Amino acid sequence: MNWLNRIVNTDKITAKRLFIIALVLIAGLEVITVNILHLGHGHFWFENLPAFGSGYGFISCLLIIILAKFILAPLLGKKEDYYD
Amino acid sequence: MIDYPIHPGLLLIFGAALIPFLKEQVKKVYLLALLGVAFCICALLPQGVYGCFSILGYNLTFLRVDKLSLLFSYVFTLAGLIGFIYALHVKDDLQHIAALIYMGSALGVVFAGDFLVLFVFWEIMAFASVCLVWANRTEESIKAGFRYLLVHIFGGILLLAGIMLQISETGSIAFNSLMNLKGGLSFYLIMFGFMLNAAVPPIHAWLPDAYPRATVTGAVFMSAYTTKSAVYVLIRGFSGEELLMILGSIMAVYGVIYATMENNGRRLLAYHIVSQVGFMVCGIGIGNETAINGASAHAFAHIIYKGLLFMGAGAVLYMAGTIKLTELGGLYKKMPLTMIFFVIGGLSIAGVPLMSGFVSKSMTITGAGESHNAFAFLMLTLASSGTFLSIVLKMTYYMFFGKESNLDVTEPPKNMLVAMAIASAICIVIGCYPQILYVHLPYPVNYHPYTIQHVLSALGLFAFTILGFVMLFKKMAPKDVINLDTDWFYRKGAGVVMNVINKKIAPFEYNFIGEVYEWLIQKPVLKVAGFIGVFDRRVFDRLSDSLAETVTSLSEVLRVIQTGKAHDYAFGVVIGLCVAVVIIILL
Repeated sequence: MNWLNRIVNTDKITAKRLFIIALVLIAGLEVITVNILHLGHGHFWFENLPAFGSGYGFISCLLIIILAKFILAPLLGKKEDYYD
Repeated sequence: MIDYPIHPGLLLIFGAALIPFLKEQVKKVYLLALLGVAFCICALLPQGVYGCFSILGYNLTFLRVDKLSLLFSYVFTLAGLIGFIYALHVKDDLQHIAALIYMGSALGVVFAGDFLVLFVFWEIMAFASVCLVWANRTEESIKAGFRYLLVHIFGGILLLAGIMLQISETGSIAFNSLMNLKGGLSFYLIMFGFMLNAAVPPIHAWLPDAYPRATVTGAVFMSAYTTKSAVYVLIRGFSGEELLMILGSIMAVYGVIYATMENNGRRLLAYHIVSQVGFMVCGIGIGNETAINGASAHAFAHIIYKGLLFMGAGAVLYMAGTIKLTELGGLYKKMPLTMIFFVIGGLSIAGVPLMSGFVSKSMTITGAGESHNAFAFLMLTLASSGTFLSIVLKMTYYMFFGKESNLDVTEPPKNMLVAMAIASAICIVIGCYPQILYVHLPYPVNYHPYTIQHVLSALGLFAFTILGFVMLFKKMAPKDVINLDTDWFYRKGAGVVMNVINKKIAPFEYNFIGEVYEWLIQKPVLKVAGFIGVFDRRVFDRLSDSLAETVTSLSEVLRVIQTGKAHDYAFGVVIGLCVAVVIIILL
């Protein structure tokens, strides 16, 4: 499984650069197809906002992490032997 | 054959009886053959209604075969086949028997055409599945099994009550859409019973409580049947019920949030069952053709990829002895194949294009769009992002990558790898050729998942979820804790209630209510009793006393005669006789 090792051990700067390129590419394509070429036909007005998928994905992810890890985890987390 | 087809569920249930008598190798062949035959029977079943019996004036229907029941029977037998390949190395007959009866009864539920047959199989399912938890044979799993069983019996009783009411109202036991009974007590009781098995919050906690404590292979079976048979009966009975749409949307997000907090890998996956079943329940609640198709397709795809994920997590647990994310890491070097299969399952559940989750999940979401239901649309999309976050990113990273754990592990046994490979292949094939699945859906499909907007919006959703994960990476580290859920109410809450009763209510009862009782009831009663006593003594007692005195004085008089000597009495008898003779002569 050499290819796997190579992927995992990519150096951080290259990985970061590739990741940012991918993000810009996807969000850019979304804007181009939906807002410029009008190839989509969403059911809601907000689906046709520029890069809706990307933006909502980012907001969703932050919302879930904040709700789960910042707010609920301190309230609900108990030691493993809590029920014993 | 056509007139009386074999019931595939009964075949599995009765087929289980042979298991203890078979030798090691024969048993393996027999298990796979049995499931293979069951799958073929389902594939060949012509649509129609078979196996009808009339008992006490009620028509029982064992086999109602239509597109919906066929779809679920295909995936149930297919998942059983894959599950048994995964479980071939297990030498515990109890698990094989329990799994076969469990599958058979789930098929029985799917083919049942009336409420009584449905209920009988429904209960068998609960009792068979709990054996897969108990088969772990640890104190923890035995306790969890009992909790699981109690919750299901509670749900079963409410379901039975609903069924009885429904029969008394309509006079028929046929199981069809119940939407015409909406608003009645029977409607809500039956829906509650179904919802409990579908793990709809707040009555979902039995699932993440019991599933992670089942055996490695038992959890794979459990992930498939209980919740999905509940989805099936909800589609049959409650399509278009708005409450289900709301609860389904909430539950999709609820499961994801708990999964994000969770440290135990199998419990994390269990919360994702809650979340994914939320998609289906929401689709059922929306109720238009696309949404119902989406819910059915999602149930099909879900059983395969969720089985795959539980197989991957089970393989890690089997080899490493733990599935806590805090104790794992860096396993990709030692278990690369397991990692690849697990990631395929992860990408499928998240709904990445070209994977099975994408073609089924986006269908449900489009159903929400067609009904112009922005709430369901946004909640389900949010849950998609969270699914990607907690399985593909969090669980995969902390299990297979991240810090080295120095666990001495290798790839799992071959049969486990083969089962995972088959499930992975199904995930990819359905993702690439969705028509294979779409032709079996209950309504004709007029939906294309691979439009430019769909694909790009899904890719954007996931790419930017990765961005969020990377930004808040430090916060994502799993912690060695458990998170409270609604099972707290019956695991701790019941104890708290007892404590409150013992320490608060009992003394209050004794001190306050006891006093009040004494003043208001005890004392007046004593007063009245005292008065009656006086009356009793003065009147009744004197009456009986004087009677007794009379009797005594009379007996004093009589005592003179009663000397107790025989000759006195003989003398009296002689005198008496003489008197009698004199009287007779005189007369």
